[in-house]
Amino acid sequence: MPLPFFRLRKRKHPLLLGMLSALCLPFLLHASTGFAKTEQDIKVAYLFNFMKFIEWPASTYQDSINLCILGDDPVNEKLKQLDGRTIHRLPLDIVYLIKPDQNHSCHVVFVGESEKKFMSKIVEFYSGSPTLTVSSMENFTSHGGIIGFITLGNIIRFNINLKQAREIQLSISSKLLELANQVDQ
Amino acid sequence: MMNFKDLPIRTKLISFIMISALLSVFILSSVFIVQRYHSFKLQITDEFSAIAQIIADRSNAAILFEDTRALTEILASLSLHPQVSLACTYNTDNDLLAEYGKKRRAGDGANTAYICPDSAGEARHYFDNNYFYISEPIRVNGETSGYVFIQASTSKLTQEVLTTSLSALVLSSLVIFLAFIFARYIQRFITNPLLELQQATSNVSLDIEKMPEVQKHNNDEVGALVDAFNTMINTIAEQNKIILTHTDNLEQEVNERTKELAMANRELEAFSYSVSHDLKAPLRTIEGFSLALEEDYGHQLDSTAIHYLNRVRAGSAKMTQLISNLLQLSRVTRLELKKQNINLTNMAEKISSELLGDNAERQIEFNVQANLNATGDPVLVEILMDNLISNAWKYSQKVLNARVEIGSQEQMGNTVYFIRDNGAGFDMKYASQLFKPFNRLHSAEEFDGTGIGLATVSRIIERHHGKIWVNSAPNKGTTFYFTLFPQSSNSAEPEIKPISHYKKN
Repeated sequence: MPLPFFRLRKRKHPLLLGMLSALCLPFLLHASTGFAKTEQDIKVAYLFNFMKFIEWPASTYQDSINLCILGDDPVNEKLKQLDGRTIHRLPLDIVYLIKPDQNHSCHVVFVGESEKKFMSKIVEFYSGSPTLTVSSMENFTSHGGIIGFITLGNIIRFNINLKQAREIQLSISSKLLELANQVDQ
Repeated sequence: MMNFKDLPIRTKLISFIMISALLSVFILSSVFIVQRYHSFKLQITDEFSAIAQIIADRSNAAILFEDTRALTEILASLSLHPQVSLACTYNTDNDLLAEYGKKRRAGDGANTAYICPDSAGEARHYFDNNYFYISEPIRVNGETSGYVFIQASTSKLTQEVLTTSLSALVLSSLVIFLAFIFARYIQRFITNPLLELQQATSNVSLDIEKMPEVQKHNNDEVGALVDAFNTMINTIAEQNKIILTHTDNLEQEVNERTKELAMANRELEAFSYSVSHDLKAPLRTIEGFSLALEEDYGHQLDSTAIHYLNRVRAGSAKMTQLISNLLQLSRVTRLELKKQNINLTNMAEKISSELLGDNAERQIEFNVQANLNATGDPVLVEILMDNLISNAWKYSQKVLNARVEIGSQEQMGNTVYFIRDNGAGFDMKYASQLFKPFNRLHSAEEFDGTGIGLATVSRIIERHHGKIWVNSAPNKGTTFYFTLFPQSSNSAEPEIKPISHYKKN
């Protein structure tokens, strides 16, 4: 349900209201995601949407798109909802990993906050295969991760390491790049 | 308003051409304008559908991440298109995520902004009140994530229609003008020969001497008409000439005949005079001396000689009668007619009593209608009655119970007089011979007579502008009918049946 103040349409003082809305924009954006949407909800939705704008090398499309979860994270609980959804016409499989998978069957690896110590190792592990690494950890992209969530005040944004993505042959839509807070090239 | 039928042919022709030209130009222009309007609308639809699709496609990532800044930037790119006045992006919950609006000038001069509607609705597009509206779904992998709503001004459409209409108007005016000039030029080929013909026709009626000749301009129906007219005029002229010559000849002939007639009349008068004087005198001598011979020497003559002498005397008497009848006939023709009222009853009774006085031994019944009046010349009518009654008397002499009836009857407003006998009668096939002089239906041995009587009667009737006809059958009597100065000449025709009270003999 939209919030009542979002419905302010009949502006008598466009300038004033414009300024007001500009000030309120971050809050509004957060609010627009709904009452029930927590930070975790947003991150789950974002993660799912990332997959829509990313293409893996053709050979990796087999029976399913594998979303692997490595380590513990507040998001993990919510990620379960994505199980069975369709992406690139393939069903999405949620896979829980204890350690990085050796056979590189994961399309996406969500690295939980618990793996902070091993961030560099994990990133390095996946730097040779077309695996989209996503994490909420700070400076994830600067360490070689592909997409990293960041929080700017109340808004959740993301950074993209395009250089690394290109190296592992992940194709990221320019549309997604446009929306990124920061793109490393 | 003047009736179209009464307009001159020139105006009619030009009107026809102009009406056709106007109609075709109007229909063509209308079709052209409507077609242009529709194709331009289609063009607008295509253009803005494409734009909306591009915007929607560019917005699909931003809408997923609910990035209003990016969405607003995308919409702002529409500022490059001058027709777009408003663009709005909604998510599937119809929440307004981004908008782009041109300022517009309201009626009071203040700038107001276009306002996004509450929702974009489903995917659709429509024209309404100078604007084109389109809602385009934003799809990501076939899934609708929101809508782009675009409002574009159609002032270009209005302008296009206006321009098209204006050029159609200019072009139509040109076509109409050309059609008018063309019509004026073309109508001459039909109108001018007709007008010439009409002029020529009115000349014919004015002056019969000067026969007009119409010049032929073209070989169409009008040309054929001109030819026919010229032929007709020539025929009329020729016939006119013949008639005029004939009229001259006729007058001349009439004059000649009149002169001849007058001469003949004079000769006839002279002849009558000579007959009355020169023929009568020797006849009196013959009669006088044969009477003297009979009286003085009758006792010396034998019976045969006496018989011869009587024959001489009878012959001379008959000749006297003949001469006096001839004189009467000529007099009947020449005498001046005096129109008077005549009592026919008195006249008939006088004649019949004279006849009875001369021949007292005849058993005959005269039946004269009372108060029988007529208008005519008393002298001539008496001759007429005398002849007819004498005839009746004469031809009924061999019949027992002879009866002569004199009367009248009304027929078609005229008085028809009749004289009827129950005498010898005659075959009606000889009736046409009856009134010619010296024609007799009976031999002199049977009934004596000169054969001039009925000719005289016929002459008298003619002079009274009347008619005479007869009804007869052998041994069944004869009825003469006649009219004097009838009201209408055609009324008295011999249609009268024999009167019923005839007795069979």
